[in-house]
Amino acid sequence: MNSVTPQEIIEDATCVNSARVTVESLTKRYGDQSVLQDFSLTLNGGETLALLGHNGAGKTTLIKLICGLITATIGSIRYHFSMNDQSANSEQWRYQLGYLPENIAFNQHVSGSELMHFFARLKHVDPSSCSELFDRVGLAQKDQSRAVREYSKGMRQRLGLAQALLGQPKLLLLDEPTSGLDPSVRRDIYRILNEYKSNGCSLLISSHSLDEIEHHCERVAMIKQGKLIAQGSRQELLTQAHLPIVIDITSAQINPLKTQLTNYHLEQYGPQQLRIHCERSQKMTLLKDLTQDSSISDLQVREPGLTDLYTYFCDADDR
Amino acid sequence: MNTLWLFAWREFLNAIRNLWLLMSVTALLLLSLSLALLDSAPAGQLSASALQVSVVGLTSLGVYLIPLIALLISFDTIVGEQEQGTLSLLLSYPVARRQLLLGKFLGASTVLIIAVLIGYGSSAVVLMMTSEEGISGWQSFAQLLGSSILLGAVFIALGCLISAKARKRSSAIVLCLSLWLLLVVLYDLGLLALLVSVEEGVLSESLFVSLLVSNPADAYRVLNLSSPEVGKLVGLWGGADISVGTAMGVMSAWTIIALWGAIHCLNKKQL
Repeated sequence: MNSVTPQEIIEDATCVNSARVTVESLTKRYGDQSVLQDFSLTLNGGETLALLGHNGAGKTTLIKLICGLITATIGSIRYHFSMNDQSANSEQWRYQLGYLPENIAFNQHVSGSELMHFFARLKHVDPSSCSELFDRVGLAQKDQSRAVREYSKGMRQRLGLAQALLGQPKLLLLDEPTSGLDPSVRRDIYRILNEYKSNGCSLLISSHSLDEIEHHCERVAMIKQGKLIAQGSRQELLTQAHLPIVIDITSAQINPLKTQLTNYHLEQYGPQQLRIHCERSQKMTLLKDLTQDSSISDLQVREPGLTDLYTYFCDADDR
Repeated sequence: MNTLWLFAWREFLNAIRNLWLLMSVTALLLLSLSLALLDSAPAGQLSASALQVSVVGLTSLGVYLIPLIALLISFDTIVGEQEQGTLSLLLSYPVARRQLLLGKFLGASTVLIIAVLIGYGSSAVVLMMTSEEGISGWQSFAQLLGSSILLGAVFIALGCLISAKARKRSSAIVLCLSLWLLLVVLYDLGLLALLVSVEEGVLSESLFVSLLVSNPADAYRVLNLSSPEVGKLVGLWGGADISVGTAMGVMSAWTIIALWGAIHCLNKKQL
């Protein structure tokens, strides 16, 4: 493939069952419009990294660039694989790649099993492994022989995941894998992904489902208007953001409490309900004080989560 | 199975499912049988065999129909997959983009080869069985079959080029029909207009013949209508003196250049 993105495939003995991808100073422009700007990121071997950001932030563009479907205007991408006996030519690395595009589409006239056999041949995988993958993604025998046009969205997504998992990939690129799916399919998809992750596979997931990401991804990269605005584990991002801990209390005597707690940012959201925002360092002292107050009938401590981090990084102006 | 043949086979199966194969075979079959069954009236008392007479009719009508069929079966090979959303998934697999394009070209060409062989071949069989001359003139007919397939290949390659370049199916079909109109219909009219409008001597015969034969549709016409046996049945086209090699060479060059351009466009395509 002609490419202006320098794509370097590096043989790396340390990446036995996984792959490491390094994106350096990537810029992608369509005409005058920059979709990605000076973007650098590393997906480590065996890691699950989530891309978060608003619609149009550049998540899909980044995944397509890593997938080699589009070429960058400036910048480079390095792929570190353990090649074993396969030579590192421009297409060989794709044997190690599984890709699930956003809103996956298939040739509507053929059956699920025909499609899987075709994809298996493209990837030089034994077609007999298809039935095992169908079982794994939960696509029933009777559905495998049905035409894809009769599939529900959930079944299409299961088929999409099955094709991405062909040939034991070491790198999975998943663009909104659970969007528009019911909770049971979502749970199944993450169960399967966790199995691959435990085998060392590296996963790059773009998603808007913050709850899922919080539970399944080790690291998060926040993208805003084509720029990387934050990256790290949830804990690292919390430290970086200095987000307050929120304590909700219910008390019959709100006003005396308010006068006692003038050092904190307070918010009364009901006749007996008070919300206290405090620093992490103040948490234990405050909790001790509050638990000794007999007027307080209920108390809830809420640690900031990914939703708060998302709001902090992606919704704030000029951050 | 080699990736290229895998794509060719998939394209061929799609053509069967979409009824393109049935439509192509039927169109050429109806054309050739109706010409064959119209008797050899056009030949009058000339000493040409029924097969040679049918070559004239099939060339004159095939030059319109074959490019049209070829463009119709190839215009959405790439852009159709792109619009459907299946192209990016295909290209995430370990395949070179040229393999996809050449595979699709081969698959579409197979459809056309089958249509030409069944469509035209059946009229040859009918004529050989019914006319007194038997297989006399089979060489002209064999040349017609070969050049019809090559003409189809030219326009399939051009259809693939448009399909790889276009961003929408609707613009691809408009471009293909415009190209058909330009090369198959308007080019000759333009050339005739040029011939009658310029003063005698300005447009030399060799320049005229070069202009004529550089168009693949005209190369096909000249090739099939200028052979010594068939030439006497026709007027203008019989006059041009072009070797079989030149005409086939022109059509092959168009095919190769169009395929090269299509691969280049597909390689540049941002999905």
